[in-house]
Amino acid sequence: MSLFWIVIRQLAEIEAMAMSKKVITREEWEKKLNDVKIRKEDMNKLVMNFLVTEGYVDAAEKFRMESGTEPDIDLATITDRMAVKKAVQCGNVEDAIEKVNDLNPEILDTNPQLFFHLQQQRLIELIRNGKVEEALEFAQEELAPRGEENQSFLEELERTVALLAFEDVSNCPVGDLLDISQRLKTASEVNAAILTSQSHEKDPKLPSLLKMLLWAQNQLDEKAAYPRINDLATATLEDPAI
Amino acid sequence: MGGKREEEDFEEEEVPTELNTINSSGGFLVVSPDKLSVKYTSVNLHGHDVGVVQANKPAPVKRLVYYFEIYVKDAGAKGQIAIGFTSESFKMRRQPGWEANSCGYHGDDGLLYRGQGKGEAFGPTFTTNDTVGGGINYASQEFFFTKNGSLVGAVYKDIKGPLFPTIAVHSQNEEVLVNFGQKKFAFDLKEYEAQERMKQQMTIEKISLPPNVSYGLVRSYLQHYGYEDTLNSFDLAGKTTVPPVFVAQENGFNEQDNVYALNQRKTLRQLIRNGEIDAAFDKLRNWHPWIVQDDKSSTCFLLHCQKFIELVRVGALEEAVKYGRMELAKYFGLAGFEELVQDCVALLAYEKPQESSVGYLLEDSQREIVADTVNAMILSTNPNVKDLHGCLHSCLERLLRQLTACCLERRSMNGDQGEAFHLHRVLNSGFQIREVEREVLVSIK
Repeated sequence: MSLFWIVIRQLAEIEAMAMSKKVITREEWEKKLNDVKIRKEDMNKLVMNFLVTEGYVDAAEKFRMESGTEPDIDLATITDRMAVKKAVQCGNVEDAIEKVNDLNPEILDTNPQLFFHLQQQRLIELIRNGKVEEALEFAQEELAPRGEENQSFLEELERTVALLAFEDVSNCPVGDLLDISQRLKTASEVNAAILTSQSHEKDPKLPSLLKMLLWAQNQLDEKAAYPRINDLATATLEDPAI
Repeated sequence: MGGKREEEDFEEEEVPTELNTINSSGGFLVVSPDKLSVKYTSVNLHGHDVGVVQANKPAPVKRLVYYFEIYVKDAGAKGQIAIGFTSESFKMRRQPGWEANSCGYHGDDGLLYRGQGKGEAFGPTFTTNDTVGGGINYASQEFFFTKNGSLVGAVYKDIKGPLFPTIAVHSQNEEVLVNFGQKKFAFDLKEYEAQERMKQQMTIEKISLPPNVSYGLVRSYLQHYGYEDTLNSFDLAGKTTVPPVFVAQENGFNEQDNVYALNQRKTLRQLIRNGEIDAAFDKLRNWHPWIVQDDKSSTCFLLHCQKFIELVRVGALEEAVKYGRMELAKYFGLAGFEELVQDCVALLAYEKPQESSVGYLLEDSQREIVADTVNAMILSTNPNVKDLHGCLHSCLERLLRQLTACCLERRSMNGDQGEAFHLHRVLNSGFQIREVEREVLVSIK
């Protein structure tokens, strides 16, 4: 059986050479990996950045105590931000808007698209709860004026109002608006806007680094055959396949 | 091992600062005393009496972009000025671009020359009072040129090896000033670099990841290093998020291995982070005696050194000396241990050891190294462990190493050109992109 794997390996090397790719053996590659210096405190920072950006306040606090890593943002502001996010996720948009304005009135002022999406969510919730009259009034008074200023707002407004035309909303073409994913989308948008207003990046760094790894491997694939990591969750090295 | 902390890998390269008066075509031009301007002194009779001068050093390569500018003070009789890059062995009587392994943007015809006699259409001509810049973009492997602050164009760079910023003058009274970065450039180089990074960033962002993989990696990181309290908070929060996060486990006992002796590891980390080394020894003797039974093992070594360091930290120098004689003396002369033991003992020589060259031993990072080693040792006592190497590095660390190694390998295959990947830099660089985003937000308002 092991002879089989030796042959496979040799075939891979021949193919790599034919494509003039440099072949790097497992041994050579592991030596390169061992030569890399990764500082523990940098990894801790990366984890803290994830906890803080995603809003895990308690975990961030505990991590600060257990690892001595300082969060790059005031933990108190996370609780407020999470309250806003939760409110939107639960459909309490009026509450969320109030909270955002308490946090920082400039956020909605400088973010017309965000504000429109929040109002749109409010409309969706009214329709979901069967409050047809209120919904129509709200659409005409609050959303229509915004729609007049902006073509894409108008289109979204029309899509949302279309919900009212259907008896069976779960099957209609705009039914996705009633999906929880719509609430999550709006919640994410508000979360990002708050982070940006606090001069913090809206996305954690860890996913970008993972994407960078996938990209770097793809780039290196063009020139070399070397052990890759194909499963990010287990981070196991796999020898190059044919 | 607990050796000297690695210096930040700063890629020190020499950069051009002035014109090279030694190899310039001396008969045809004169360089100013400050070596930052040049004048054509001859009379242009043919194609081999060009006044060419290179910079004193080649363009540095271990960065994203290299760039320099010239200011045409006087276009002279025919405005035959050129800016570009040439190799070390360039014939210093010919315009850059007229010979192989050179590239030049010429002011009289606005053409780009790349080693053939005939130039290609490239951009506008340039003359008196124009500021023209030349650069190398290592990410895209291109030469690019600018005029009065605007990008003119770019061409592929297929010349290998060191390249010298080069300027040339060819008709009577031509005079050109050069700027190697000592003064502000007319071209917004920072913006150009930011956009180049953005381009790469955007390509990377488009890549999709399996769902919740970051969440899973953070979780396994917390388990690996024994951050028990954080893990519990994290798990609790994961259940109440909307929607609740669910990380599929491959097989049941992966989970078990990760939380093996979790509470013990957490306790030991806390003790070591607080400098309570005696207590740490006690616990280890209680829970995992085999780890500390061989006094010459690396774990014992690190713990003893740390105990010594803690005594120095509180100023108990006599006790430290006693302890050193008892416990550290045996490590002198043992390969692999020597450097650390010498550094530890050196602490005694200073009144303010934290300010000395061995001051790094008094920092938290040293305690962290000991804590991480003990952590790995305990993980290795798990009878189910298949991969001992896996005890040393968390998944996250393995991924980051792979990322770094791939970037370095690719760069090395590219003649070592371009920016290296530094996790440290990436972690602290976030604000570049943010600034560009801010501009965009403000302009919408």
